[in-house]
Parts: sequence; C-alpha cells; structure tokens
Amino acid sequence: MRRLRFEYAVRNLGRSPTRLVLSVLGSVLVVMLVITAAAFVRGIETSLISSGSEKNVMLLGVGSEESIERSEITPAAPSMVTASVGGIKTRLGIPYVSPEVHMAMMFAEDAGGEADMRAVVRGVTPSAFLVHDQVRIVAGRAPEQGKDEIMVGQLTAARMDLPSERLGVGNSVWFDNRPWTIVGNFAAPGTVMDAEIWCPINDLLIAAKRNSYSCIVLTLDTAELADVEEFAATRLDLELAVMPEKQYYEKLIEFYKPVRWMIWITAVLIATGGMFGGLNTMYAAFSARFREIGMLQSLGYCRRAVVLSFMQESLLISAIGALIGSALSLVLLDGIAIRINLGAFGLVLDTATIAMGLLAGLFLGLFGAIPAAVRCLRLPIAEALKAS
Amino acid sequence: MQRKETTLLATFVCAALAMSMMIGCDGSDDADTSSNPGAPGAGASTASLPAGLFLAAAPAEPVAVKQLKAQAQEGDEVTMRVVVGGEVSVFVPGRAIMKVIDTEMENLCLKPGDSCKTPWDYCCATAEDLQQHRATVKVVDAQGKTIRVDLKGAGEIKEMKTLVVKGVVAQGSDTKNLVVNAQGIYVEN
Repeated sequence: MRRLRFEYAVRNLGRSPTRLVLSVLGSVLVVMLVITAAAFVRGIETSLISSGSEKNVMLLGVGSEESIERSEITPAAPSMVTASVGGIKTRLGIPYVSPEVHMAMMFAEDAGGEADMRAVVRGVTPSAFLVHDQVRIVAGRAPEQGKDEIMVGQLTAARMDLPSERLGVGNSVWFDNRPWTIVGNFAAPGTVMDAEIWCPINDLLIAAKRNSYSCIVLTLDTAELADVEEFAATRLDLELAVMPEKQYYEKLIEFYKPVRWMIWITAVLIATGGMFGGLNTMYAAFSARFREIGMLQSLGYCRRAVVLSFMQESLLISAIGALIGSALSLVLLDGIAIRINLGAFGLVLDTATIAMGLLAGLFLGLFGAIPAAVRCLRLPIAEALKAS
Repeated sequence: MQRKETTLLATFVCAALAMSMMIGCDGSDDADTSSNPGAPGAGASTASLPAGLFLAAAPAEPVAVKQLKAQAQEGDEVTMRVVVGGEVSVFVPGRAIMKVIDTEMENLCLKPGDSCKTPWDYCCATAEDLQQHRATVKVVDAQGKTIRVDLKGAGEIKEMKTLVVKGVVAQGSDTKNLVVNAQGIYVEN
C-alpha cells in the first residue's frame, strides 16, 4: 500500500487554525472530564484507605460497626482493655490506647451567627497522637483540657466552606454557645482526619452532654487481633465489637460504592457528550474535504492510505488536547478539596487518573476521523472531484 | 518518512508516559490492604482441644445462665444448656472461645415469617434480656490460657447448635459476666 507522508497530516493541521483550536479544545474538555471523575473516585478511596493503619484495631459498640458516630462504649473500657490485653504497643510506658468520641457537630462563625457549618469533631486524649501517626501538628500546639481549645485539620476549612485563613491559630468558632479557640493546625494528608476538628475528649463529652465514648483505637505490638477479640468475648457486658481499623475504612469504601458508580456513570455520560462534541468537530474538520480525498485517490492513494492519514491528523489533534488537558488538570485540579458527609478529601491525580485521561484522548483521536473519512470515501472519485 | 513518523509518535507516547510517571512517583497509593493486624496464622499454635472434651452423653442437671450469673462464684463447677449465639460473630478465629445464650431465652428470630439471615444473633431480643442470658465458653490449657485453635467446626459446633457445657466458672466472672472454662461439651443437635 502506498502511504501518504506523515508531513501531509502535520501540514493539514495548520490549514485552518480556528478548526484546529476548536478540535484541540474538544479533546481538552473530554480529557479533563475523564480525569476529574477518576480523580474524585481515587481521592475518596485514597482518603479512606490511608485513614486506617495496619497495626491498629478498633473497639466499637456492638451493632455500630458501620457507623462510629452511633457507637457507644463505656468510659471504663479503655482501662480494662489496657489491663487485660498483653502485647499492646507502648512508648515510655504509655500504651497506644486511644479512647475517642466522634461526633458531627454544627458550628457558628461567631456569637450571633447561625450554626450551619458542619464538621466532624474527634474528642481525643494525647494517646491519639500515638495511634494516629499520620497526624502532624503544623502550627500552634495541641489543645488543652478545660480551656475550650480545639485544633483543626488542613481540609476542615473546605469542609466548613470557609477560607483556610479563617481557621488559623488564634481564631475561634462557636458551638455549645461558647467560643472555642483554635490553638493548633494539623495535617493528616490523604486521610479523613485531615478534615476533622480535634479537642480534648472530656471537653467534648461535656459540650455534647454525653457520657460514653465512641470507640477505642489501639496499636498492636506482640498481641494479635484474636487477643483483643478474646477480651471482647470474655467481657460481654461491655458489648464491644472488634475490627481492624483498615477493615472499618474498607467497609466505608463499600458504603460509598454507589456514589462512586454514580460519579462514573455521570462522568461517562458527560464524557460521551464531550466525545460526541469532539467527534462532531472532527467530522466537520474532515467531511468537507471531498475534493482533496478524490484528488488523493486519483493520484493513486488507496482508501486505506487516506483513512490512515486522516487518523494520523486526528490523533495528533487529540494528542495535543490530551497533553494540554492533563497538564491543565494537574495545575487546576490536584488536591482540590471536596466535601462529603464523612468530612472532606482532596482530588487525587496519580498515574492511573492521568493515564485514563490520556487514553480517553487517544480513543477520541483514533475514532474521531473514521466517520468523516467513511462519508468522504463513499463518493466515486469523479463525483468527489466535482464536489464543492 | 517512516522514521520521522515513528519519532513523532514515540515523542507523544514518551511525553504521555513521562507525565504519568511524574505524577505517579509518590509510591504511596499501593498500600497493601489485605493483611489484618495480628491475624492468626504464623503466630497461632497448632494446639488441639483436649481429648475427652466432647462428651457422648449430656451432663445432668443443667442450670440456667441467669441463675448461674446470680449465684455462681469463681471456681464453681457448673453445667448449663445453651445455644451457640447471642451475637452475629460468636467465635474468635484462632481461639477456643465462643459466645452462648441460654436455651431458656426464646429466639424471636425463628418465628414463622421472620427472614433474619443470622438468627443466632437473637437480634429481636432486648439488650437487657441478652445481658441476663448470655455467657462465654472457652477451653483453656493447663496454664489457664485459651487454647489457640478454632472452636467453630470442632465436634460439629457451629452457630445455633444446642450444647450442654460442663465446666468451671473462670476468674473475673461476676453477676454481669459469666465465663466458663469448659471441661466437657455435649453437642445436642
């Protein structure tokens, strides 16, 4: 088969700059849509997977294994589990046992403001920093008990729909009819904790008028999961359910499965719309070239060679669009905070998401030119040469 | 011509791959989620249950769990007739321990028309009723440690089986919490 030179396809790109720009824009949009959808799904998965630690075990109230906020356990349980289970990790004699209260609370910006900012508050003791080693204080200090102090994560402001500087150290937010001073900012990148507010556990119990903890998180050293399960089985009066922390968050991923599917379906629908828009642009770019195709055929180039040249041209356009779309996504989308019930998470643009965007671009390039080429090639050469 | 074409296409592919690699070099997204902390396996011993644990005949005069909770003291020899259940998860993998509930306790999940998939959890009962009628049965070694072996499946024990358990009230038991170190188990059905 005698093939058209590659330069022919390249030179054709410049024949109509407006058409080129529109075609590239179509490709950019399709690629960005696909990347956004993929980054959303990856973001939600990554934040939940990273939230659980391999060696951590959670003790929750029986029947509340799927919702930590509903869980209630007696405040006596942490000391009992510490005393009964040997092999829990310790540091300088301090056991890695963190009793915690998890609550979704409504905050107000100031005294007279409406309490319409929702955030997850975690009541903690200093042990929380031992078991959740992803957490780092990046500004200020940890809150102290009895002083109405809190510290906030990096994504908390996004969760509460506030500018990030509003939750800087020294500012305050209102709940339980009093101001709570922000004394620290922490980072727990890629985890649900990054969008939480942390405060001393007893302060939260008082503010929430509650007398039970939500869970205990402990880190195993030489102990096994079965040792903790055995403790729970021999203390039926405490009504504890035991599960690895990772498993808890994996269950949450399952919970969000329908949401992920909905996002994918929406993304596919939008991308299909974009794809058709792209195809339409390609079609418009190629379908008016009857005479050119007729001429090429009369010069001895077979239909396959013409289609191939069209595909090269279309691939070049979509490749340019794919690269621009990926680069723009990286600049504009990476790390953008998205609010969900659980808190907030950042869009994740990793290898997989970028690869998906590039593949969508390539797909558009490969198949974009075919319908127009088929239409043009249907005409007999004589008619094609006479076409206007 | 062919070479130029190949070079240009290769340039695009390389650019695309480079972009992907550049973003994907964080190496943090491949965390292994398969393992459970301290899951029984390498650490679990291959100990087996004591010979003679499973009885050929039911021990006589079983006492209700509720009554045992009120009266029995640590070290007392007791016999009780129970059903394996009281919670969704009644066994501890890798440990000879199980949760049981008194046969006196009516299981509302077994009523006609109830489509409960885990009827052994007695989910239709009130928390107070469950609290009064539940107990824990474990099999310990000579040192008093729970034997590291699955109780589920041993001697045909599984959820909803009725057992008559003879044993000693374990240390730490009180009126709220009854733990029996089993010396003999008769599996009724």
